Amino acid sequence: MRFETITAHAFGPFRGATLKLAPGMTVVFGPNEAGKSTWHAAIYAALCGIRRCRGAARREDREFAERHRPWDGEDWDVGVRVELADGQRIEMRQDLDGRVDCRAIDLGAGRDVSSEIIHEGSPDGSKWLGLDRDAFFATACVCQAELLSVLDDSAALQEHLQRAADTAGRDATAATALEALAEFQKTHVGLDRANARGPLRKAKENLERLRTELDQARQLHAGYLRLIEDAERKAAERAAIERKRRAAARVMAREEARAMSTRLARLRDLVGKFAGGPPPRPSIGAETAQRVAAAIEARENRPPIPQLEGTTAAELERELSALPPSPDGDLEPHARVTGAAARLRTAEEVLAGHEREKPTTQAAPDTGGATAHELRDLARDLAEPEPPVDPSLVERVEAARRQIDRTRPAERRQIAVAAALASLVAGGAVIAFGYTMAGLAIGIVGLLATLALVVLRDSSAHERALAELREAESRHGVQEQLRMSVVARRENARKRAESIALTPDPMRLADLARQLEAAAQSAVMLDRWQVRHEELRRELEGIRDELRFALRERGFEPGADLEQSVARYREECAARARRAVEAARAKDLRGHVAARREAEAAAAEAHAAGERALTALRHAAAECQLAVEDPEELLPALREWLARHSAELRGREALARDYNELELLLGGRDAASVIAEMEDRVSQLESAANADPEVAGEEPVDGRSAAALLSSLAGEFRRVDREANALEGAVRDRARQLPSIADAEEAFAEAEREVTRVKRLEDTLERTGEFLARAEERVHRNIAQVLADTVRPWLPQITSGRYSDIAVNASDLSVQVKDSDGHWRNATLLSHGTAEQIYLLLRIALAEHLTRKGESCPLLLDEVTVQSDRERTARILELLHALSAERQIVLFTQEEDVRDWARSNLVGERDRFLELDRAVG
Amino acid sequence: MEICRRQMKLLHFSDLHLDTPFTWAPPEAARKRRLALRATLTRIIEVALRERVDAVLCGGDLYEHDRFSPDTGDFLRQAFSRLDSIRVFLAPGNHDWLGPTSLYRRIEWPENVHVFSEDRLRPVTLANGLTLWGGAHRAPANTDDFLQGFAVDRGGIHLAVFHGSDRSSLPLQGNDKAPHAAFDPAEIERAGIHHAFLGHYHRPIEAPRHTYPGNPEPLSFGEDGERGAVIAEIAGDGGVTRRWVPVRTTDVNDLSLDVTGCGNVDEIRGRLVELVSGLSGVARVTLNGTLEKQVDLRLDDLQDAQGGLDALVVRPGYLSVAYDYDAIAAEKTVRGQFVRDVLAAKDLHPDECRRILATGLRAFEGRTDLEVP
Repeated sequence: MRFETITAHAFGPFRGATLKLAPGMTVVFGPNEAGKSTWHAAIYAALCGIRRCRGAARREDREFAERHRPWDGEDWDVGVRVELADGQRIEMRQDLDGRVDCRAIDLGAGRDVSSEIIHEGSPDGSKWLGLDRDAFFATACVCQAELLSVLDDSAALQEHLQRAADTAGRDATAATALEALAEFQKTHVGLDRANARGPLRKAKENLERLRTELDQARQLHAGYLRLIEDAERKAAERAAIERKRRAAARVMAREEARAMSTRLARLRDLVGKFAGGPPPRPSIGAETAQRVAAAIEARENRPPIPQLEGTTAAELERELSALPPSPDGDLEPHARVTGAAARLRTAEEVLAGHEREKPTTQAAPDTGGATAHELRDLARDLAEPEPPVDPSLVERVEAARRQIDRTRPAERRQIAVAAALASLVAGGAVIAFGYTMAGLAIGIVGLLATLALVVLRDSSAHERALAELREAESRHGVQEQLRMSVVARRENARKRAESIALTPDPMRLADLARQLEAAAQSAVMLDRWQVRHEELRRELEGIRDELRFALRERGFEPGADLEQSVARYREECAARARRAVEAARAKDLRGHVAARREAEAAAAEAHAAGERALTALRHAAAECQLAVEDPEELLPALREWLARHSAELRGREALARDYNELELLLGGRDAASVIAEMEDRVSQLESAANADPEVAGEEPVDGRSAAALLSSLAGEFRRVDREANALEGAVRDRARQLPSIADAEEAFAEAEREVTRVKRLEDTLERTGEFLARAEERVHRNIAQVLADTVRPWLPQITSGRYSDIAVNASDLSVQVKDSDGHWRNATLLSHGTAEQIYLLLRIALAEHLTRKGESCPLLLDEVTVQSDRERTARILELLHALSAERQIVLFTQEEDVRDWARSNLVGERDRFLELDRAVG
Repeated sequence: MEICRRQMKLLHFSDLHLDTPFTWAPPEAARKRRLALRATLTRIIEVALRERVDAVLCGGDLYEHDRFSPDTGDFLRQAFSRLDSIRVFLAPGNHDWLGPTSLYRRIEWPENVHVFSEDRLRPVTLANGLTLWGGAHRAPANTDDFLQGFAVDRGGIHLAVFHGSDRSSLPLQGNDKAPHAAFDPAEIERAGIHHAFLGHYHRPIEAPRHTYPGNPEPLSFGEDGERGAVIAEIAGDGGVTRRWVPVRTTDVNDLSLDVTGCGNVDEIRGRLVELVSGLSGVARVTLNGTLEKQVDLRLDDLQDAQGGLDALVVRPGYLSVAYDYDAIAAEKTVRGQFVRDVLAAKDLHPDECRRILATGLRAFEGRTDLEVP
């Protein structure tokens, strides 16, 4: 691309002004305030326009507008005419104010081509270069400050190269971007290991905590359901007992009704029998006989004294008190502990297995620091054949030079004078020999021929010869340069190989490159193995932490050796289980104590009853005046006494018993009311006996069985009822404390989302970093070669032979040059003059690299020589002039040295010198 | 009740899912959603009273057995007590399966409530000549087809209520719907059932011989179809006319917001506020469109735009960033190479590709907002 004209229709102070630029090099000279910077900005704005997007304008766009809006009027309009490499000529007009009336017209085809180059809302001519307006500014525009920064800061050159290579100079370098990614990952993700405190670890810990809470909530709910089940079962058990009790009560009521009916009938008999009044009172002897009989009966019916054997109640109580309490803690190893222990064993085996698979490393050959890529490049350069130079071009150059010599005007005049003199001498000689006419004719013809030679000389032949020479030299120069370039690369490769103590043999170097890559591959395998090893080790540590946590959760403090700790934990569980079995005996033992106490009390009571019966027997004997002392003889003596008086007393006693029975039945009340009451009671009992027919099938066989059943069920019912009530209470208590499972599930889901988010961020950052690092490595490798190849042919010239070669490091784009002694030096250590020129060459190379293939990017330079002395300025200008053969260069300057140089050197058709002769400010 | 003299009027509902979790919602909003489920049952009861129905049928999943809170039982007892003389027939489903610890067993039901308790259809006489057959899930899974080998054993009109999957409609219910007690619709007629009132499918179905009312209160976003309680009138010949009565207490709004052209988060928030303005209940907003590249979008920053909603869930949809990837990919720079490589990577999901591109380009620009939603 080349700029032809720039027209500032309304731009800054200019209105309708036009600047015409040469296709090669244009120097625009002007004092301060002459508008150089304005023209510089106008060229940029005319080509690239200004972005037109929604939202607030960018700061740089606002500043650009503030600086370059027209000083009067509302329009802000600038145009440019450019020629593209394919010959297409374009006229662009940028409505910078409204950004609506912007267009790009193909002058050849007469059509609007704006749509081809729309970028961020407006036409951007730099798109034809494969750039955009930001990239064009960073690539094509070189200002004084950039050059100064390279000279002042040793790292600026490398930084600039990286920025240009990474983002065409618009944004940060890839290295900075990678650092930003790493820093962001550090603060927003962090590590996932035990002691880390980053977001990922926190999110995972929170997730684990909420998982535990959710598990606990579910366990509590499951426990609640089990409790409900237990309560239901116990209630059913109570209901079953109740049914049995009700069935027994039916039998009891039936029995009682039957007994009550019998007593009623007896009452009615007795009431009839004693209708006339009570029987006569029995005599004293009869009472005595009764007491005797009672004493005999008491003696005969005294309870037997049971024989107690075995352990006494006191001994049982001592045994009970000696039993251990029920132990606290696990009775058998908890599943979480055993599970973690099993996983630990597996993890240890996996880790051990992985250690056995450790890959062997392969040593990298000594290449003097050269990379495999560089070695391949060296091998390729060494093997590259030298391109031929067309010998006919040399002949054409020589022929053109001879032709120039022949057609040079001064020589022609000398030839003509010599010819005239020769013809005059010849004519005189002929006349002297007597041939006057012939001599005159020879002289006249010679003079005319000389005159014709002088007057009719072919002035265009010299010009053609010059043109032929330029073309032949140019073609020869290109071929020679190509050849020299190959030779130089080969030589450089050879020297480079030697400088790093390697044989400059392409096969050997390629082999070294393969060895180097194989070593790198083995190192990668080892790295992967180590990464996996570290993962397994961390996993193992995690399981150990889990096992420690599980042991602590079970109330066991683990020691350093977890295997031993688990074994001790198991042993303690077993010991507790044994103690628990012992402690469980207490319940049975307490039952035995109670039973034994009851038996011992019964024995004591039987003994007391026997004593009381003996005492009564002695009193009766005394009352009967029987002098018998021996207890064994008392009973037969009293029986004999009673037999003697019984017949007499029996009749009276029978009456007395019946009457007593009557009085007992009446209880001091009148007979009619008692009979009525008993009849009601019988009725009630019969009703009760027929109630609850649904339990009829469960009735005991008789009243005795029913009574025994009722007696035995009473205690069981109380126990079951108490347990059922306790379970119901526990259900109510548990219900009050029950956590919401839904709440816990929602909290867990929220934590899961957070972990997913952070892990996704981690993955995105890692993948982004991987892509970015790969792209950086690939692009730097390509661009390093381009930079070195571009600068290398110029280096001897611009450094007056001090430096012969250049190398650009593919990893960080640092630049080194090789001096005449073969030593490589960092470019940052070069003199200012050399550094300036190398920078400009690198800049050209970058522009060439970043520009679309087939196009050349013009360079707009603003005061780039202002800090240089006269000699350095001259060298820069010569370099730029040479470079302008391939691309358009526009230099804005206020320096008179540059002006003078331009006046003297920019005289060809491809160059132009422009002088802004007045200040516009 | 005499079926021959007048039509029988029933209210049928199912799949209320009391005590279910709402994992998409913030904690407070989730609790409100669970309370809304109870409010919906209250509204169902009011509809039954207003419509003077003869009976209320529930086709299962009334609550969730694994999560029920203890007072849910008391709530259910009180709710159905309000129906007084209107009979209620409950057919436990796979979520509220009938076991020893079921709420169904814990509740001292009022006399008007009948819980079907067998895993086969058992009859209840609704009116002279009208029989209702019902069954219960006795386990959370593996319940057999209630209609397999079943046939009515008497004359008259026969209805059924149970929780089961119509095999022919399963594909319409979404991938996450598992079949339970699956049956073929033809089995209904073969069994002699005139109409089956069912539960399990959350999307309503109005089939000739069976009815799924759908979940009456929204459980998640994206539920379509008119769901609610069904008022069914049974004619003397067994014909059924149905109408759906909405009973939901909460509006669920599933919305999309185009963020194209927004230059900053405040603009997005402004559009969001405008979008949800005047809405009630809960809303899920999916962000779509092209984000201007300078926008630092963090979804948490948008949560305060919920206004009068109970809950607002904002999620990214088809979001792209306004980078000209084609132009950048044409660059010979590292950035261009980076974009080319990412776009060419075949193992990347489009969403992952979008995030990686935006993250990398932001890093190049020196930005600190490297988390791309």
